[in-house]
Amino acid sequence: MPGDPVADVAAGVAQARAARSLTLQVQPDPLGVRAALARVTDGLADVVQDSDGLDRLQIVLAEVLNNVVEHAIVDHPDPRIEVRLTGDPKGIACTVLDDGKPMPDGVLPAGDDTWDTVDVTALPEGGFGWFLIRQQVDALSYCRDADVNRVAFRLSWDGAAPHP
Amino acid sequence: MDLSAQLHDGVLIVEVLEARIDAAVAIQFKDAIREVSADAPARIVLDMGGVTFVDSSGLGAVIGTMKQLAPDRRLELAGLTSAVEKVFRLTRMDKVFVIHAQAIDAVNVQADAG
Repeated sequence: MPGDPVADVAAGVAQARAARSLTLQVQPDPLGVRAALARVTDGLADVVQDSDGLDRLQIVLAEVLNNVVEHAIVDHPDPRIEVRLTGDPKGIACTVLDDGKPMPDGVLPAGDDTWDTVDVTALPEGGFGWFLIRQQVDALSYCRDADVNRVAFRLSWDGAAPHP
Repeated sequence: MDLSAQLHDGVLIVEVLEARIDAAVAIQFKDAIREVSADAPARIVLDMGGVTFVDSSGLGAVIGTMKQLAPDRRLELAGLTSAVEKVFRLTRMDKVFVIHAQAIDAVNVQADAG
């Protein structure tokens, strides 16, 4: 019933219960990325029914974290990487923070699919990460604040993400 | 990187015995494939039925392996699980590789053709 304060409170309580948060520190190397992805997917497997959505989350988070490990924190003596996830019934919001180098030119890579699948000898053997990210997220942003990189994205569970 | 390679009717089936081909093992994967495919026949089928996840680095390693084996030998894929299939489809690599539902299908294709 619109405007019913009791119903509004009940809806708010239900929403708060449905929202789940998870924050984890990521060991700054490829095996640390692997462990973080396992924690996220294991942690959500029981509460998220959309296995396709979980696949998308794992692919996107893997590429964001790989980028941090392979580029941002290179030469950093003691880097910190943190993942913050907040889920709700419709989807999940994720923020990845690191204290490494800023993105080149202060912006996220375009992630265009420039490769040609006809001439296989010229296929790239990497550089698919930002393309995979941008293909699957509903929203994506980057900012740098107080020497910390913050990449945030959102995925919907309902399959509403832009598919090619 | 653990692989198991077996010849089936002139097709080398290479089963990946690890759950992930990612940045942590991409280089080892390429090296291991090179080792098992040294004397391989013209068709090599990578059985990925046990692989639950491939990232951009793992995808790059599979592509690099395919390019390395060409043009004398063809790398085909089999048993792609959901997240792996998604990565190949999104990057349009499903147009580049011959992909079989199961590794044994690749052998049957050849038997049917013969």
